[in-house]
Amino acid sequence: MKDPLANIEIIESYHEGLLNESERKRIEILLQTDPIFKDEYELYIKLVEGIKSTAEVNIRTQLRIIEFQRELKNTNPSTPTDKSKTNSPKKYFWAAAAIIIFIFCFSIITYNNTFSKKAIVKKYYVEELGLPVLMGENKNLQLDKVMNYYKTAYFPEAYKLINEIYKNDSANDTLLYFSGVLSLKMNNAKNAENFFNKGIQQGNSVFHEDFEYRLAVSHFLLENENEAKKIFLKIYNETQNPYSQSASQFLKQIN
Amino acid sequence: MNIIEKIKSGDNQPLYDLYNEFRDDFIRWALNTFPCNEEEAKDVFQECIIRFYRNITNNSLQYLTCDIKTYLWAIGKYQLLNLTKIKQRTVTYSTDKLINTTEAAEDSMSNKEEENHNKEMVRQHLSLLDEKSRRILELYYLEGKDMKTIAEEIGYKNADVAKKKKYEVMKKLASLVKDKLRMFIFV
Repeated sequence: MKDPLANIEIIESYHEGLLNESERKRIEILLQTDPIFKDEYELYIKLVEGIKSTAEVNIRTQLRIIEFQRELKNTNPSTPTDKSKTNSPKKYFWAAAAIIIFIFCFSIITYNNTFSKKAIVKKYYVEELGLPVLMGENKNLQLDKVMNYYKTAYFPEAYKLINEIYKNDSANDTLLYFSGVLSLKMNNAKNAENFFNKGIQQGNSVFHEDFEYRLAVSHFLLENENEAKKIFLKIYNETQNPYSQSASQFLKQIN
Repeated sequence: MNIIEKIKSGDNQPLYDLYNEFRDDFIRWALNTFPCNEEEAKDVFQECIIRFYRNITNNSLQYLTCDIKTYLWAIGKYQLLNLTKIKQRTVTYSTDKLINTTEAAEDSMSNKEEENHNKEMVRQHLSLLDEKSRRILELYYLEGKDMKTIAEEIGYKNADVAKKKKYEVMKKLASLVKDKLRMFIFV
């Protein structure tokens, strides 16, 4: 098969403005006269744009999660909004001081664990790509909608919708699996753990390997290192398991 | 390290902090100043944060000559003005003009759709690469690191080895994804 980016070095140098005047002119002539070279250049641009878009997708997702969390907070009736207005400044001061001390101590204790754990998961976690959505298929329209939300990183929206479907079909392993995947995406490892455990209990699911791997990741995030290690080790020893390589990376981190 | 340098180095936390800090103010201001609803104001402010990020990473914003709030409000103002224009256009244009506008909009929508499809394909296939390969692309294209730093971080012998590896990864990604992109390729 022909190399689709045979001229990547010169194309990248041109794109980044690193060529001298005569080289730049030569490339511009090639772009006007050689369609193969032009396609190669366009392919390169599309790849770079695609790679760069991952950052924007992550930011959009995080902003949506912030909105979702705000929404949850606002619907929580126990939030004492009116009381705070009647508090004296002295009371405020001590409350703020107590919170600062608590956050400070809590941060020191959890920084090394939680922060580094999230970074490790970000580095080694195998992403779920989602199920294909077939044009013209009328079955599972709701699930298709969930998949579309999932693939475009609208995780809170996907989660809300899958929760509604799940209420009427709680034994469906696909729903269990994606509820767990979405919980992980929204930093709720405890919820994810419950869904994956339920999925594994079903025994004969096509998602069995996926349930196991993501359950191990949930355990890892929840500080249940022994449980995580046990499952990662099992996955690592199954050479045909698609998560074997990732499991070995997690095991290195746990050890 | 200032906020621009932090974002350039791949740390996105300042963006989320900015969002939390100014979100309510922005929505209040937008609702008072433009004919929009809360959802639209929220979407516009998210777009402001994304544009702020984009301007930093493509080097159009290297330093701020005003405070960040003013900068974000300036982006937001144009977004909200555009939104207002679109709303007004739909109401006041004659049928002929509306048809023309719709055609143009459909064209630009299909371009946008194509662009989104291509980006989505690249992102999906990126996740099929091994961790080291993905990281080298992230460090170079997202975090703007030079090849020497990348070589040190990933553990390659020197910048040339890292550069060669990066080209190999790009070629691999290209061969995985090229048939799935919406473009005409001769190869």
